[in-house]
Amino acid sequence: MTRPSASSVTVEPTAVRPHQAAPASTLSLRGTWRRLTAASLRWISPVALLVGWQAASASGLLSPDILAAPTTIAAQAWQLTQTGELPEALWVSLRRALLGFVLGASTAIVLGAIAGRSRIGDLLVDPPLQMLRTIPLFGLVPLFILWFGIGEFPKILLVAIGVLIPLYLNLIAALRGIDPELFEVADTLRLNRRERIRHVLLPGALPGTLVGLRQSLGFSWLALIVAEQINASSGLGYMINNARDFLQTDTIVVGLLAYAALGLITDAIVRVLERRALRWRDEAAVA
Amino acid sequence: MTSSSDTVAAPAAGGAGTADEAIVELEGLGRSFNGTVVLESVDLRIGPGEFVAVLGHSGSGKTTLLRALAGLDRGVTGRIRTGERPAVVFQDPRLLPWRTVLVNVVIGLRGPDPEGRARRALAEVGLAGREQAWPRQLSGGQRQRVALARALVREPDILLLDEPFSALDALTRVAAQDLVNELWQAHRPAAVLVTHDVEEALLLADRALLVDRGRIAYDEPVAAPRPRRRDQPQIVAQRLDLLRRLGVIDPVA
Repeated sequence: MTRPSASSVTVEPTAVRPHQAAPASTLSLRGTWRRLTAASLRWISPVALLVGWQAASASGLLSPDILAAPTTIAAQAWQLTQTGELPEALWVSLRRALLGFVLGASTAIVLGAIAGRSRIGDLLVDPPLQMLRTIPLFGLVPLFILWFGIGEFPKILLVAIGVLIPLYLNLIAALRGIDPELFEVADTLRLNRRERIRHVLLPGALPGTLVGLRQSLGFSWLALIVAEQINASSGLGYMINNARDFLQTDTIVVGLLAYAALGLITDAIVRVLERRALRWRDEAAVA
Repeated sequence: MTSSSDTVAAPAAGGAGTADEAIVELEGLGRSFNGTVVLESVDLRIGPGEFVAVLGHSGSGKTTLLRALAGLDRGVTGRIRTGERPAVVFQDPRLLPWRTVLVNVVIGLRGPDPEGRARRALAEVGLAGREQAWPRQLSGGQRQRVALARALVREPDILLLDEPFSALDALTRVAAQDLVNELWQAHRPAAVLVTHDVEEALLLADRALLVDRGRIAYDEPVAAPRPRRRDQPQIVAQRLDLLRRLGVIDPVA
């Protein structure tokens, strides 16, 4: 997101040179050219790193036991996709994250609605959640293993709690942040309960909730990775741990890239949701 | 106080100002917040179609009075009867920023063809064509006009205006005052305008009230004939009188 602004900052000082009295069309052409070069300049160091890495691997400087060559990793990714191992592992991990997310998000919404909308609800619901917040999530892993064994449930639960806390906190902050004057307007307009929820409560709490959603999605991947490290007989974490035992650094990197891709995809989905839901703010800012 | 209001209400409402037809009847209205008395034994009667301006210093209780009339304040004491369909325009427009202008007007509207009525109300305040705009895309004056349309589309029997022009710049304010005058003439709800601006009160209202320390200290008809202008002798004289009563140092005399 910061990339375009960073590149424009580097371009600007050279673009505005007072004694360069060129016609407007050449100027804009030159501007486009500069922007293009700036964009391609950004690729230099990543590509150089990749080439260096490949060279180090090919020359034997970098042992495949430490880190496999990029080409080997790409070949291994293709191989794992062909055998169905990677899609299978992806699906298992995705399913855990989804189940955990749904469990955590629905709990957050129910608890947030109770605590955010009534004083007694707040007194009953808020303290235990604030306490849970102070406990390091991953510190719960040993207890979870004792309580629930090593099956699917403790993994899903860990993701669910990772989702629950940030979403709950952002949700109640968003509900409390709604302008009370708008509820007064709802009174004078004699809105019924449904209209109040639909037109005031939900859209009013949406921006803050989406912030919480993004945070909790990021957290859910992190919780999943940790949960899958502990012990799993399937999924990306299992694939990575298994590869470690056989010193297959190529498979480990493929697994990491798969995690990264999943995180990027979910982030992109939330960003699309945000753009659609907050049109009233963005379009007004442009006008 | 009640008798004087009856005599004022009658001409304004075309003879419909008898006691049992009053839109607003307050008897001994009181309100205190944590022991501080804000309103004390207020008696007030407003007839159908009557335009009453309420003047007073900040903290005099005039906004509290308006909130009581809007039914927004459940902590008032005394006997209170207000309009069956009150509509409020606040100092700030208080539109839902996440809903289009049209939805802001149509929201909560009952009866047949709510959308058509909302569109007509928007056209009436000069905002035809802006139905699908977001409130943030409008100017302050336009937003306040949306708030007016939202109030009027409900066909209120009493229109409550809580310093609706005070956040507008001087030129926009004059246009908004004219618009309120036109809309009131066309729809004839009873109207209560809370304001700091004596001139504004005298240009718009049938009757001016002055609230001082929780009581009605002044309740007189505005004598100037309509259409009103700032330089009408009756307006000028009553303005000086009211400014003196408000304790503002008179710059002209």
